Amino acid sequence: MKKSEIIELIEKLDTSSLAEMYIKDGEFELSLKKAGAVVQPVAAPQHVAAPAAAAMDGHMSQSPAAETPDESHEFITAPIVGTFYRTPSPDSPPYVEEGDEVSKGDTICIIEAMKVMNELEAEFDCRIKRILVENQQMIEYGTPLFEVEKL
Amino acid sequence: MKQLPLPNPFGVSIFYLTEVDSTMRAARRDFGASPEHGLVISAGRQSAGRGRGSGRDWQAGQDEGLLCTIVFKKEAMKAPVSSVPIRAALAVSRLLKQQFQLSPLIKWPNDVLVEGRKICGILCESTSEYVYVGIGLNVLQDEFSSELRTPATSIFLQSGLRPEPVGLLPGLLSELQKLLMVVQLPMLVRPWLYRLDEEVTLLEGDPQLGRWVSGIITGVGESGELRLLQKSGKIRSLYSGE
Repeated sequence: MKKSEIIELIEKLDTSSLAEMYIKDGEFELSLKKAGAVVQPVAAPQHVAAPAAAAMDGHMSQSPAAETPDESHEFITAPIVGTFYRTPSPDSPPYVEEGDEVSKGDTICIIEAMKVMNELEAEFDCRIKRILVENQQMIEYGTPLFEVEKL
Repeated sequence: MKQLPLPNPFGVSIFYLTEVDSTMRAARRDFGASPEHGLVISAGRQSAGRGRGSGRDWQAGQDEGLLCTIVFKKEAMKAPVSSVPIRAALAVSRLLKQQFQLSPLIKWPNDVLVEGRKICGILCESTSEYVYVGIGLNVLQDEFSSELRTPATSIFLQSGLRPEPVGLLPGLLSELQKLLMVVQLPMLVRPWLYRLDEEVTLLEGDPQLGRWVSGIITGVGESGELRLLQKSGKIRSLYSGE
């Protein structure tokens, strides 16, 4: 590839919506990444809601889970990208159902990423008011998973 | 349960059970709430090897495979937890090359293949403080049922050698110890990737959902995610799938 073509590519990348680019042509390989670009995994992450402060900071108004923001609503959000599982194994009962009370440290779901079954534990005693995602659903960092009421 | 007189570079015990439901379950159940970093639970046979999805049971007769779970404390590792399976796959691959002159490749995210056949599977469970790494490596099997979902092979079938399965542990653990501390994961993994630079179609997320994603495999990221170059020219990172 000619130098002028590379410069042209850099300019194109700069004005495009792409964050990075990879080209391979025979032995020639070129990898470009925009300065300050954050590569979004798969889809744009939803607003990150800290479990304890979600309802207060206004972020939840942009979440599909939020209806009428209420100071008593708390959300547990996904700490990582992955696949959401409600059960420890396909033939076991779910960790939690809506209405269940859980204690701090109880496992409430699994998020699988790269074949690591990450057990998500409740960070405080709470009642599960609503489960906001389906079993096996792909979730992004910050996706609200559970609406809970602190106990 | 007995303790094996084998060196463990983590300086803790290697346990062996003749038969167990699964080494993962035993590790979670029988070693208390604060097991030591590097603890190994191995078994001669598993009656309920774990995995998500049906028909994925490990096929190994008594003492034919290396079946083990290794326990790591998250605070003692540099590696992101999500990268642990591919680091373990790399440790197994290096061991197979060094000790048996095999040419293994890593099928993202968690299998090791030799000549396109599965020789090792890895599955991890992570809690707030620990990551449990389950490894099943085929060693002495001289045949496999043709009904397995993925064609399988063993060290014996590939090399003609018959090493004692648990005897592979010290070498494997020393590779793992090094790899859990390494930071430049993408460069290390790249040459070992199955179907590198080839166009592939993978299932994203739970395989039962049937979400297909296509692209050219360009490598993995620091978290162990697979990087696919899509037709649009965009790089897409996969965090869950096979």
